[in-house]
Amino acid sequence: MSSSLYLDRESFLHRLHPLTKLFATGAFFVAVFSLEDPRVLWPYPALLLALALTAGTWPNLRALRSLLVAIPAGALLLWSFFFAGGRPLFSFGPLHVSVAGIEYGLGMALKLVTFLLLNVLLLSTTRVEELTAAFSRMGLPYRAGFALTLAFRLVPVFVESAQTVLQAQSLRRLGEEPRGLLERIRRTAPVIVPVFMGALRRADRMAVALDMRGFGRTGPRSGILELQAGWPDALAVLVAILAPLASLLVRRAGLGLVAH
Amino acid sequence: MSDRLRAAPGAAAPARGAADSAAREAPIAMVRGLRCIHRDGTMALDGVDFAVFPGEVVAIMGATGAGKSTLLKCLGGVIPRLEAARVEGERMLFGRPTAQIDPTELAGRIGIVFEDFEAQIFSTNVALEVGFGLDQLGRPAAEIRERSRIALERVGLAGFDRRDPATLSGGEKQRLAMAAIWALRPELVLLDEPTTDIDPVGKQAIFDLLSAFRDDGSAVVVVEHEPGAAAIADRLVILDAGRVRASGPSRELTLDVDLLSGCGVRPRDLDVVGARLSMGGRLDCPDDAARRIAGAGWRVQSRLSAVSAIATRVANRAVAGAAPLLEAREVRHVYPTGKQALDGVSLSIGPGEFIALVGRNGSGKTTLAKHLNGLLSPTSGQILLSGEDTAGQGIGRIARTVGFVFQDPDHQLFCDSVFEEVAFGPRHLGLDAAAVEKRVGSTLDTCGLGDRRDADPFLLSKGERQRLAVAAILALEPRILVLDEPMTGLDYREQRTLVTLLENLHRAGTTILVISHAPWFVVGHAERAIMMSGGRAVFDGPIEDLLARGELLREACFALPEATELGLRLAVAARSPEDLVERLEQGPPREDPR
Repeated sequence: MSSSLYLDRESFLHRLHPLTKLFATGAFFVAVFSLEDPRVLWPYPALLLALALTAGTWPNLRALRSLLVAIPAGALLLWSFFFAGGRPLFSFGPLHVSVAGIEYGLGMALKLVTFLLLNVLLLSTTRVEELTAAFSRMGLPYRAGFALTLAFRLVPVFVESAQTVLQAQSLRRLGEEPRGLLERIRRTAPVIVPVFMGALRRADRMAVALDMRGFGRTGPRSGILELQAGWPDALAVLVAILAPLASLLVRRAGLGLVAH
Repeated sequence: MSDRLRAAPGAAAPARGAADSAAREAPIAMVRGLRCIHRDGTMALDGVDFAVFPGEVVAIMGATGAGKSTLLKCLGGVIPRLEAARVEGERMLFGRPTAQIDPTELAGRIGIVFEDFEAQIFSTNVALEVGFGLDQLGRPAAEIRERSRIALERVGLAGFDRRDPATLSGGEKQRLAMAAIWALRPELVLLDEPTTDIDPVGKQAIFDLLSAFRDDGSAVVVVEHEPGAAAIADRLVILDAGRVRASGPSRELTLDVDLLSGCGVRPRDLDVVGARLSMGGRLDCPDDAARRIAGAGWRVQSRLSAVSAIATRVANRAVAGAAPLLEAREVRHVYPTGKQALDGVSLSIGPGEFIALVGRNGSGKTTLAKHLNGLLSPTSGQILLSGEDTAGQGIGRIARTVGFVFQDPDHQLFCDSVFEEVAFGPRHLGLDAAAVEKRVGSTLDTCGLGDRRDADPFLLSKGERQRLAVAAILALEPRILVLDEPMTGLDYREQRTLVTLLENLHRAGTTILVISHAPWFVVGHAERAIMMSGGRAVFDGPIEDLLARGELLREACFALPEATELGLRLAVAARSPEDLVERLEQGPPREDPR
């Protein structure tokens, strides 16, 4: 099992400076946040999907495919029923489904897909260490940046540990599957004990290891990653600036929203 | 053993070689009259004197709970700074009282590798992990790259730079943790069982690394259960219940095999043979031992006894000649990452066999074992249980026949008491309360835990937890018991108890398959070996046949026990020092051929 979503590839996105990628992520987030209409939203996830495929992040998209489908599908369903306004197409009791509702739901679905793709792209092409370095460049103290990115390092480890514990328990339960939600919840308790104990022990050991390898030291670090920005970063920043700008222009033209 | 050695405090001067000159220097770390009381009130150390000098390797050995790890942590200042405990006595580090040193001054000067090495690895690739410390210390990037490259070469991980540490095997991770320390060139190196997960040849590489640290002028303190560590150490300190039981030059102290065994330390095979044959002095290597033993008039006993020994093993295997219980047919397994872990493995396991599954780190042993109990399914090929394909049988059905004990007992223990832990499985078998009570009682007795039935599993020693993990599986009465590295982290006494348990189960008819890196266990106790290499079973046959396959053994990084090596030189297939000694008889001394 890999320790993070990062995929070691040689792509344009991998070579970008992590600050550029953080900036572009934020810019795309703002760009889609202000729009509602799927007719103007679709180019954003389409562009990101194309980038994701060229950056070789297909394995992560495949691994997260259920999320990439379930979350937007849920949003579409939810907003189609609960969107207030619009001319009802058909009704289920007090719930009305309108064209505007479906449009709004589609828009929300595309927004959520965009957010998911942004995160997958960022984490698939950027090492945890690069993010830490980027946070440092942004003025965040190194230790705080390291702590922030620690979750990315540790969550997969805990997931793996939980999987082993589950396997061990499943063998001793002779594969008997839990019946009902309550039983399922009750069974998580014995998993939590060994995983939590392991996590505490691990955190303890990691603190000592970090300490002995100079983590607590103040003063400059050499920057082993040698992060440098070049013309591809300039190009990426330009595209990143154009994204919210385009949204703004669309909104100005009165096209970005769904009529309530 | 002289009284001088037994009574000498740990702070005695170093013993030999580079250490002789070091004796004149100030110790790098020193404690005097050290007492350490943990938060739960346990007295871990009770008046310990110890010192380590530049250019010296000191091995600390002793049974589990003797205070070895605590001493290591006190030396490095981890206790009480990062791990709370009450500490009394004098403690000095780099010539100053430890308590007065600013922790940031220690960065890069002390290198620590804990037994729980995985927790020390946190980077996303091997190169970044090795370079982390140097980066923190602000070293130039070119220097970081060069030192990282050398460090990875030293531990046998050259070319692994871009690998994600999470994808490495346990042994490879342990080497990586060592490389991360090596790159920093610390003055004081503290290692707590640094070779638990490493194959035999890899272990020797790590011990060689300790010598390299010494040659660089570092002081090394290593806590180990492996006799190999004592062999390269200048000085050996034996702890027993928080006190220094003996301390002295390693070469002399290791000759007292009864002292070592009594303190839960496994002695070197050659030292056991030397002591039993009253050879006097140290037998340095199998060649030297063979020459001196032959010179003293010892020779292999009459043919009769050797034949009868072999006959016993053949009889054992006759049981294994019955219809196979478990079969693997051309099993391939490819992980989702694309890594092919098994490449067409075929084997057959009969009832009543005692099999060791061996091979270097990452060769596919655990992956194969997890196929045998249904935790993993073959990408292609078949696993047959009593002639029936396990595909679609479900873990539950397979688990009734094939019990699996995970490497880390803490992954499988989760109940409030020893009794509940063992009763968990039988209850799922649908047994009534009286039957559960009876089965748990007999299982606990079998595993030597009869008097611990109400204890909290998390408060047991590692050896007891390991036996409890075995008991929890045994209570399901599986016909086959698969154990993944069950000796890891156990002291000599605990190892022997576990071996006795496995042998008793085997005698009672249980088929045993053990993944193991411990040559003494594989050669001394298994009847058959399956050797994995690159996802393939490159050897499958009786242990005796394996002994003659030198090239294969080297390829799989498997080193024969010293007693077996010595036996081969004396033309006898010996499985343990005791086995070898039993087959020798003394005639008139021969002249040394030199």
